Amino acid sequence: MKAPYPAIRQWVVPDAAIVSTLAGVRHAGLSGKESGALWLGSRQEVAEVTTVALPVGDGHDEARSQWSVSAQAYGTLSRWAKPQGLSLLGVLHLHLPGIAPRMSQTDRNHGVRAPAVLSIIIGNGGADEEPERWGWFVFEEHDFRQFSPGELGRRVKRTRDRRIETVLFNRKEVLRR
Amino acid sequence: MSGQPGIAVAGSLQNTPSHDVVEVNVSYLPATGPFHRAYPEATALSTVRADAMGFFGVVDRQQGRDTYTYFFEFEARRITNLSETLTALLGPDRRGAELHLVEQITQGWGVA
Repeated sequence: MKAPYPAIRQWVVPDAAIVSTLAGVRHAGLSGKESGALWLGSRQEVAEVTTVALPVGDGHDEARSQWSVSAQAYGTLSRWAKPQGLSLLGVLHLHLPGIAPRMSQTDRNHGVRAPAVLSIIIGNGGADEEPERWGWFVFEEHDFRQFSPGELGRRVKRTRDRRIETVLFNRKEVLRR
Repeated sequence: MSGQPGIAVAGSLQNTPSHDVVEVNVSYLPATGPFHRAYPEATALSTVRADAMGFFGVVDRQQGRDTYTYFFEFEARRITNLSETLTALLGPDRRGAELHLVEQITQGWGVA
């Protein structure tokens, strides 16, 4: 068996992934709830985000103090993604206005703790459009570590690419948007 | 090899499918490839889960009163009975299983 987690030197994030993610989560932020999205792509040394996956309906729970994705919905997404060679590259979620885009203990303990998986926190309920203002963390060894501004610039490459797939998923199905 | 259920000939496993053995693949969304291993059909799912979690480097964990647990999903249903054997899960004539290791992601500022 191959090693399950090839090292990632750099993540490529198309602008379209940013736009799609914000479009998918802002509604919750505006109504005072947390929400989030998953970024998928081919995991390799330079890993590009190619798919934004937004949980909907019974696939997730949006509340004032937390956002969760059900295991069943996660399984549905996994069954859809794996045959296409897609892996989970990052989990994004909102923090509401007044709460810094830093990881809470819940974020750390109840997030996806696999090597080089990103945990990205969008501040100000989704009103912070510039990703440089978000909190960018990467799981290494035993915990998440925040990127410094310099490291963020080196390891996360933004592109103007508009080709991105956005999918909606719940416990039963994955739908292309 | 007779091909009858439950009969396996020692030493023939590499060349001839044995009805005592189940080929198991477990996928995990953050990982690039699956965990793969052949198990005796009487193996409990708890054993497979422990092996797969070891391969993927993940562990169940506790925060306060909350436990973060990994589940198996098989054919769109979550497996809750890990003492179940592969035969009980698959039926007597299935030679392989495609499982997914899944988790409930919870992110939040105000959760204890």
